[in-house]
Amino acid sequence: MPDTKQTVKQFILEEFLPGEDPDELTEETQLFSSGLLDSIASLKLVSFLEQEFSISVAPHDIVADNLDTLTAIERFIETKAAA
Amino acid sequence: MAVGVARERWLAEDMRAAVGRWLGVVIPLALLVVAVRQYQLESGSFVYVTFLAFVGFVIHSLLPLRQRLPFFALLSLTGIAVVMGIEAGLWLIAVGLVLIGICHLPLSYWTRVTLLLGAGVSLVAFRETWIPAPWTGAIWPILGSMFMFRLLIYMYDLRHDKSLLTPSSTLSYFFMLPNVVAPLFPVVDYRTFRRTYYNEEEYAIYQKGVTWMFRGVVHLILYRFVYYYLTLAPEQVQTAGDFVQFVVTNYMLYLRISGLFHLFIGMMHLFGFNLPETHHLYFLASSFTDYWRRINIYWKDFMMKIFYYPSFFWLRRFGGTAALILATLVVFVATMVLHSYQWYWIRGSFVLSTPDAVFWTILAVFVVINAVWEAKKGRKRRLGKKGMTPGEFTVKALKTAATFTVLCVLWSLWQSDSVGEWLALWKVFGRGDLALEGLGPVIVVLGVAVGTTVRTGSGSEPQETKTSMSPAAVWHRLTVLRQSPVWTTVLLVGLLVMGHPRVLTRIDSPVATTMLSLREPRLNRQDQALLERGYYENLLGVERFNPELWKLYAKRPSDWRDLWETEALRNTDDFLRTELVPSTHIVYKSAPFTTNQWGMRDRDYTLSKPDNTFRVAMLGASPVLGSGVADNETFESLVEERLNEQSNGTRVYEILNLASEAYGAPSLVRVFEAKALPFDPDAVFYVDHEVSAAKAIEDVARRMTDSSEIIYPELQTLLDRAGVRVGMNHNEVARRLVPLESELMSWAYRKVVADARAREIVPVWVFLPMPTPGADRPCPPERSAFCFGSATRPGAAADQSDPRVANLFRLAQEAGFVTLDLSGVFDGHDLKSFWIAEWDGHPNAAAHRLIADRLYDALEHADPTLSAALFADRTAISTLTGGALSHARHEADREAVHSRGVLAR
Repeated sequence: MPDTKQTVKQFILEEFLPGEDPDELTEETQLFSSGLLDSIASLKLVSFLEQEFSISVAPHDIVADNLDTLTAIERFIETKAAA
Repeated sequence: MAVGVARERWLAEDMRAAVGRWLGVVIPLALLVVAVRQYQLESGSFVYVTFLAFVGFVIHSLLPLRQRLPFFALLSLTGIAVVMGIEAGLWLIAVGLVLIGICHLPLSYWTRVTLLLGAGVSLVAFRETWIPAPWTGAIWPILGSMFMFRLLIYMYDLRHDKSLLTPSSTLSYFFMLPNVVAPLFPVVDYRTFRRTYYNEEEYAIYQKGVTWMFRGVVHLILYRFVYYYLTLAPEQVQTAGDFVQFVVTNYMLYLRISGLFHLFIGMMHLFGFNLPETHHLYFLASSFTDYWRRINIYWKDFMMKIFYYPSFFWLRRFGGTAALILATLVVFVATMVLHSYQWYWIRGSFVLSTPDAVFWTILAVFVVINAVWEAKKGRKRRLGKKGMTPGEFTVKALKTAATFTVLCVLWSLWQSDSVGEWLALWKVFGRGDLALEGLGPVIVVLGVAVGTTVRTGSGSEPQETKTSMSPAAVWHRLTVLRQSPVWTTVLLVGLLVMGHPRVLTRIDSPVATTMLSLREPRLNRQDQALLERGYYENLLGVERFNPELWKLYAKRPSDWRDLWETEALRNTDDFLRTELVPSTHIVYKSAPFTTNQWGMRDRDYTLSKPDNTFRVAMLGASPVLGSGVADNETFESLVEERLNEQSNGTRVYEILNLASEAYGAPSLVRVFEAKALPFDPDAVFYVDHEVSAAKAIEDVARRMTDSSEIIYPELQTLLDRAGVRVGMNHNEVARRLVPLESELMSWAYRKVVADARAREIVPVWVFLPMPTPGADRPCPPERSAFCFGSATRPGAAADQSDPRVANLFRLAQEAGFVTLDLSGVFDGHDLKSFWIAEWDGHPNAAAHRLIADRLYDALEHADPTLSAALFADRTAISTLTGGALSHARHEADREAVHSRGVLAR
C-alpha cells in the first residue's frame, strides 16, 4: 500500500489543514497527542479510512497507537486490512 | 595509550553530564519538597508523600529499567501503609487486590463484570454500614478514588488489549503513589499509562514532571490568595462590582484542583509515566469545545473512550450529525451521573441538585452547538507554531473573553445552593454603582485578553532570526529558559525566600503580611462563618463545593453532629422555631449534654423563685449554651457556682441558661418574653459576640424562607422598609437587611430593656468575643457582618476597636443596658487553643473557665451599681431599672403568671 500515507495526508491537509504547508505534515507529526486534531476530527478521519480503505473500525480502535501519526495510521490500516 | 586516555576522558565527561542532569532534577525536586512543607500545602500526609516521592525518585532513577516498575508498585503500596496506617492501609490493599483478582478470574468476561458489580454492591453495604466493616471508614474516599473509575477502564482494556498487562503495571496503575492522599485524582487511562511509560528520553520526562509540580505549587498558592482575600459569600454581593468579583473568584477557586492535578501528574513523571498535560491554560479556552479539551483531559479521555465513541458508532446509522449530538449528550448525562457516583464513594452521599442539572445541561448545549459548528465549518488548525495577524488575535481574544465570562457565570450557578439563590444575585444589577457595573466586566475582558496575548506569545515561534530583539524573539528565548532546570530552581528558591518567616518578619509591608498568611492553611472568613453557623441548617452547600471545610469535616468523628441533627433540639410552631427538648441527655460534640425539665441546658430550678434568691436569666447562642463542653463546664454554671460559694449561704444565686443554638436577636427577644419572665428573674444577661448582628439577620432570613409569622409589629415595619417579604430567598433577605442591621439590633435591645424595666429586672448586656483570630485583611465595613475575630486587628479576638463591636456597645447603651465588656479575655494565649476542635471554633472548657473568671470580676468590679444590686442591695436594682413603677410591675406580674400557665402546659 505505497500510497496509503499520501492518501491519508492529502485528506488531512484538505479537511483539517487547508492552506498549510504540506511539508510541515511529516510521517511522524503527532496528530492527536499534539492537539492538532481532536475527537471530532478523529471521527471524520475514521469515516474516511473506512470508506477509502474498506476497513471496519471499532470504537476501541480510536487510540493514539493507531491514529497519532501517518506511520501509525498506515500500520493500522494494514493490520485491519489483513484481519 | 592515547585512546585509553580519550576514552577515560569521554567516560568522565559522560559521567559528569549524567550527574549534572540527575542533579538538575534532584535539586529542584528537593526544593519542591521544602516548598510544599513551608507553605503547608494540603495536608501533612501530602507533605509526607511528596517527601516519599523525592526519596523514591532518587532510588528509582538509579535502578535498572526493568526493576523500576516493580519498585514504583512497591513504593506506592508502602505509601498507602504509611499514610493510612498499617491496619487501614493493609485493608485498603486487600480490598483492592480482591477487586483486581476478580478482573483476572478464569471466567468469561461478562461473568467477571457481573462479579465486579456484586462486589460493588457488597462495598455499598459496608459503606452504608448495613454490614459492619472490619476496616475504618477512612479508607472509603481513597479506595473509591482508586477503583471507582479505573476498574471500568481496566476491564475495557482487558477486553480489547491484553498485551499491556503485567502484575507490576496493574498494581502501579491502581495504587499509584500520589493517589493515597487524593480523593479527587485524575482518571488516568490504563492504555495511556502503559503507552507513555518511558516513551521519551528519561530526563526529559523527569524534567517535565518537576516543571509541572512547580506549576502545581504555584496554582495552590494562588488558590490560597484567591480563597483568603478575594472570594465573597453570596450574601455579600451588594453591587455589580461584587457580582463580578463573586463569579470570577469562585471560578478561580478551581486553581486548587488544577494545582493538585499538576502535582500528581508531575509526580508520576518522576517514575517514567509521561502522562499528558492536564488543565493547560484552561482559563484561556477560546470556545466550549476548547475548554472541554483543556480543563480535565483525563476525564475527557475517559468519557470519549467509554461513552462517546461507543455511542457515536452505535448511533451513526442515524446520520453523522445526529450521532454527534446524541453522543455528546450521552457524555454529559454520564458526566452528571458519574459526578454524583464519585461523590458517593468519596463522601458517602449522592449529590445531584437542580443547579447541577442546569449547569451540565447548559454546558452540554453549548458544547453540542460548538461541536456541530466545528464539524460543519471546521476550525482553524495550524501546523507548526506561527504568530497571528492582528485580526486573528482580536477575534481570538474576544472569543476567549466571551468563553471565560460565560464559564464564570455558569460556574457560579453550579456552586449555588439553589437556582433561586443564583437568580437573586442578578438583582444587584441596576441598583449598584454604574461605574462599577461597567468596570468589572471590562477588567475581566482586558485580563483575559492579556492572557490570550501571553498564550499566543508562548505558542509562537519568532519569525525573525534568533538574534533579533523583537518581542517574539525575546519571548522565545524566555520560553527556552523557562523549560530549563535552572529556571525552575531559581523560581523555587525565590518562592522559598519570599515565604520564609525570617525574611518576611523583617519586612514591614502589606505584601510581607500577605505572603506570611499564605504559608498557613486556614479557613477564610466566609468558611469560618460557615463553620460557626453550620449548625443552623444544612443550607450552605458544604457538602458539594467547599474543599476547605470538607478537609476539616473529614477529621470529625462520625458522631460529631450539629444540635439540629440530635434529639435534643425540636421544632416549635411558634416564633421561636426551635427549642431544647426538656429532660434530655445526649452526648453532644463528645461532651455530656443535659437539659432540665424546662428545656434549659442547666441544673433544675423551681418555677417560683425561692426566698433570698437572686435569679439571672442568661440569653445567648451557642457560646453561652456551651457547645462541646460538659454540663458543669459552661461559664454560666461556673459563675453561678462561684457566686454561691462567695455568698456563704447568705444569698442564693441562680443563673438560668436560656441559650440555644441558632438563636439570633429576634429569637432572644422571644426567649426573654416567653421563657425567662415566668421565672421572675432579677436580672437578664444578654450575651452577644462580634457577629451577633449577622446572626440576627440570619435569624430573620430563615423566618422569611420558612414563611414564619412575624409577631412583632415593629420588626415587621422594619422588614417592610427593607423590602423583605415572606418566601424571599435567604441571601436576598440578608442582602436587604445588612444596611438595616443596626436598627434590627436596636429594636431587639430596646424591646428586652423595656420588658425588663417594666418588671424591675436589671438589663445587662455582655460582650463576649469569640476565640477567633482576626483575618490579615482588614474587614471592609460594608462586609463586616461575617468576619469573625477582630475586623481591625489581624490575629486578635474582637474588641471595641472593631467598629462592629463598638456599634453593638453603643446600641446596647442607648437601649438602656448596663454593659459588661469581656474583651481581652483570651489575651496572651493562642486563640485556636481555646477551640473545642480543629474544625469547631466554639470555646472549650479552658475558655469557659477564663470567661467565668472574667465575668465574675466584671460583675464584682466593673459597675458599682450593678455590683451592689447583684450583691444584695435592692435599692440599686431600682436605680438600674430606672425606678420601678408599681403599676407596670403589677401588669408585668399578671403577664408572667399567664406565661407560667403556658409554660406549665
